[in-house]
Amino acid sequence: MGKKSPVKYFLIALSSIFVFVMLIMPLAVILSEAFKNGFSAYANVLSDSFTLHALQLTLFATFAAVVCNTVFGLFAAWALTRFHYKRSKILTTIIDIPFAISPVIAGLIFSLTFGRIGWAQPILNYFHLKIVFAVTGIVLVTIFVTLPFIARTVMPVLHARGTEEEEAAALMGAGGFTIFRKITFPHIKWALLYGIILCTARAMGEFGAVSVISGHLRGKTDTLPLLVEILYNDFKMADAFAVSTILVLLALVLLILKNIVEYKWHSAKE
Amino acid sequence: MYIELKNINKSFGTYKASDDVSFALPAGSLSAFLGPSGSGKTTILRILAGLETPDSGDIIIDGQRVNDITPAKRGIGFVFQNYALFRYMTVFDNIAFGMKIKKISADRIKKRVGELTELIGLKGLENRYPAQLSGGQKQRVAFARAIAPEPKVLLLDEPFAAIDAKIRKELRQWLKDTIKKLNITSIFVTHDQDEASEVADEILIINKGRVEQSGSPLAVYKKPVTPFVAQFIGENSLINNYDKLKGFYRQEGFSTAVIRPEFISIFKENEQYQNSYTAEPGVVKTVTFRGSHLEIVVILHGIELKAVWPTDRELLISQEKVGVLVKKMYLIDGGNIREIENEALIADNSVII
Repeated sequence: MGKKSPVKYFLIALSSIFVFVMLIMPLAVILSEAFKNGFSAYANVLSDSFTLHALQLTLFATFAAVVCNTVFGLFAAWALTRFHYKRSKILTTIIDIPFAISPVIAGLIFSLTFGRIGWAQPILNYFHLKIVFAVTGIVLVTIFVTLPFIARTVMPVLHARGTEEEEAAALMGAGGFTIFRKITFPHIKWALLYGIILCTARAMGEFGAVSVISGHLRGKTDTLPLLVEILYNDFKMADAFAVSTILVLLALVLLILKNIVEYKWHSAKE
Repeated sequence: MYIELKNINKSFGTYKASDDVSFALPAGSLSAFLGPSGSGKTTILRILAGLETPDSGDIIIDGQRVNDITPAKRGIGFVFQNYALFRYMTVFDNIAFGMKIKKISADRIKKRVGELTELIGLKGLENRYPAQLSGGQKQRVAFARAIAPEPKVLLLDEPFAAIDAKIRKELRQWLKDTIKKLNITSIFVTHDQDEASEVADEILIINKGRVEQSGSPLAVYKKPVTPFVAQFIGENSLINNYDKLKGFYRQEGFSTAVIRPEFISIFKENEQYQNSYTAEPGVVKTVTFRGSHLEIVVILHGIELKAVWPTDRELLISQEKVGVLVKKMYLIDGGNIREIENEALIADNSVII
């Protein structure tokens, strides 16, 4: 292909325009709207106790989901790539369900299962557990929607690598944990970290499922995305945008981390 | 006998990977499992190591049944086909791994790794990572790693498969000498008959999960006992209408004949030779240079036969008319094999006597 082909410039221009209209412009709007009433108004919104609580809850739910899914993802990836059994394909497919189901439906499923009319209600009452309209519910649905990320990023790496190194270590008498720590983990650590970052990004921004199950109790069960919606519906535009900037900032941090990890991962491959 | 397998069976779904496998190998022997790919030789090796569990049968090492003993406690060193070196560890850590697991003191580990890197000729490369080594070097590190914890038995899965031809030859000899020096009972898997006969004291021919024949390389070559072995060993011609050849008659039940190149004598047209009237006129179809000899395909009664011709004689050329004498052949059917000599030749010889 010629270097000065018009197609090349056309495609570059098209992509740039698309990115500008779809990403850069809205981002600029968020920032300009957030600072519309001046910096002190912006600072007031951010230091508001509801905002801080929402931030805290978002970080907590994200952290809980990431921890759960890291453990689950590692176990699932190990089980599905190291043991071959008849229905392992079915399990692989089931892990992907959260990708396919709309988060709102996921929220509904949890509400209907664990809510007042749900079949699990008597058990929950017996143990004095509350899931719907509570932090537990928010954590559970966040786990649900981010379930596949880590398992799905680690699996191909484990699969491509084969089992011989682990077998070699086992033949020399290494136990399961030693094998994981010394042989398997160094190989999957970048993939795992990449999965964790994707999982974190998804967990922080989750809206639909959390919205259904949280009950929007301000100062109790509202996460940052929910708070943005509440403020927006109250016509507090500047406040809504100000809270949004927190999410934007977190997203940017994750984006940078993701790129660093990607870079490290690729240099580790060579 | 040091290593014994008794009636080992193993299936993967409907595929029978090991079919009533039994054999016994003496201590200090160096044996080869030889067979085509997919014949089940690696499975037998993995069963011996404990990486696969047989469906039935006994595995005995040094007089002890080891079926229920974990792989790590069987005292086996294993060299994997692709070496399976720990890629995030240095050469030193790779070789030391087994000893560290065994909680051997750091001083002794250091000394032993030193000895082993000396033995494999990689002294000074202890801090390299596997990715920084050549294929032959990786192979030798894998070997050192396998023997470092002083196993009783060494198993090698296709140890030379991933190495280029020139280094492979050197490495074969090196491996044979080293194993003999260490006096460790060893088995290696290969699909290359040259490799098997060059390195091993004893060859076990594996086909479809069964041991077809075992014995010294010479014995297996000279006296194949099953149709498969007759076909698999050597560069053979496989023909159906063998009764067209002078001196051979169709034998009841045997539909196919296997003829080795060395069973065929080829004479130039003007040449004087013994048994001249038993030779038949044929035509050279192709001549291929093989270094030490020429590989010839001659056509005789429409049958293509592979033969050899020494390079120090006047060379043969394509389409040249030659005299062809087939001295013997193996006749095979489903399960039987029979070696027959050229009858004309027997009669001819008796006349001379």
